[in-house]
Amino acid sequence: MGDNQKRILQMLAEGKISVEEATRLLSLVGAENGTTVNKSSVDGEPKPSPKYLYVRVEPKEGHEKDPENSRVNIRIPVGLIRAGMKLKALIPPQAADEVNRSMQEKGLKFDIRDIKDEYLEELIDALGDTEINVDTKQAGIWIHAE
Amino acid sequence: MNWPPYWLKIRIEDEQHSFPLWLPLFIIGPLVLLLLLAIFLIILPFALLALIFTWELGWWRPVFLFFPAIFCVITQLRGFKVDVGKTNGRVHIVFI
Repeated sequence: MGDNQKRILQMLAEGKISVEEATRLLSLVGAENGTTVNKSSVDGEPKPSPKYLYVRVEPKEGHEKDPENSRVNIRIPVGLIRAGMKLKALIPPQAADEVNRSMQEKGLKFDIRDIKDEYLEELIDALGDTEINVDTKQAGIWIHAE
Repeated sequence: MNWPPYWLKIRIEDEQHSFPLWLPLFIIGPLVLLLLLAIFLIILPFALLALIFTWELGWWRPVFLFFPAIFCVITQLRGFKVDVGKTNGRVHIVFI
C-alpha cells in the first residue's frame, strides 16, 4: 500500500473526509499507480453508470424576460459521448500530429492517440458523482449525470 | 444492440404560433440509407483509386471507419433532448 493511500485511509479514520470522498481519492491514486480500485458504493453494491448528462440553465426571478437570458434544458445520453469518442478513430495520422503539435505549443503535453476506451469508462463513472452548480445574478446553471 | 431512434419530435413556438413536427425516422432513415448506398456505388471506382493512392498516408482509416462510427452515433441518439426557450419563442427537439 502506498503512502498516498495510507494518508487517505488515515483521513477517513479521523473523520476528515467521507467514505465517498475516500473512495474517489483512492481510485485517483490507484489510476496514477496503474492499479484499479473496486468501484462500489457505500452499500457495497456496484454503482450503475450514469445514463444521461443533464445541462440546465434557468433564469432567476426577475430576469426571465431579459432577451439575453434563455431557459435551456439539455439531456445527452452517455452512450452518445462514448460513440462520439469513437469518431477520434477517423482522425488521420497527419492530422493527429498537427493537433498534438498545436496542443504542445499551448503548453498541453498530451497525445490524443493516448485516449483509450478504458479512460473514457472511468470518466463516465466519475460523471455519476459529478455535479456542477453555477450561481450567477441572472441565472442558475446545473450540470449533473444520473 | 441499440436501435436508432424511431421518431424525431420538433416543436417550434413563438408568441403566437406553435408548430409541432413528428418525423418518422424509421421511414426516413432507410430511405436516406438507400440513397447513400446508391451514391456510394456510383463513386466506388473513384474511391478505390483514391484509396490505393493514399494507402501509405493512412487516409484509408477514416474512409473505412466513417460509416460505422456515424452509425454508432446515430444509434445512441435515442433520448437526446434539447429544449431552449426565450421570452419570444421556444425550440424543443427530442429523439424518441
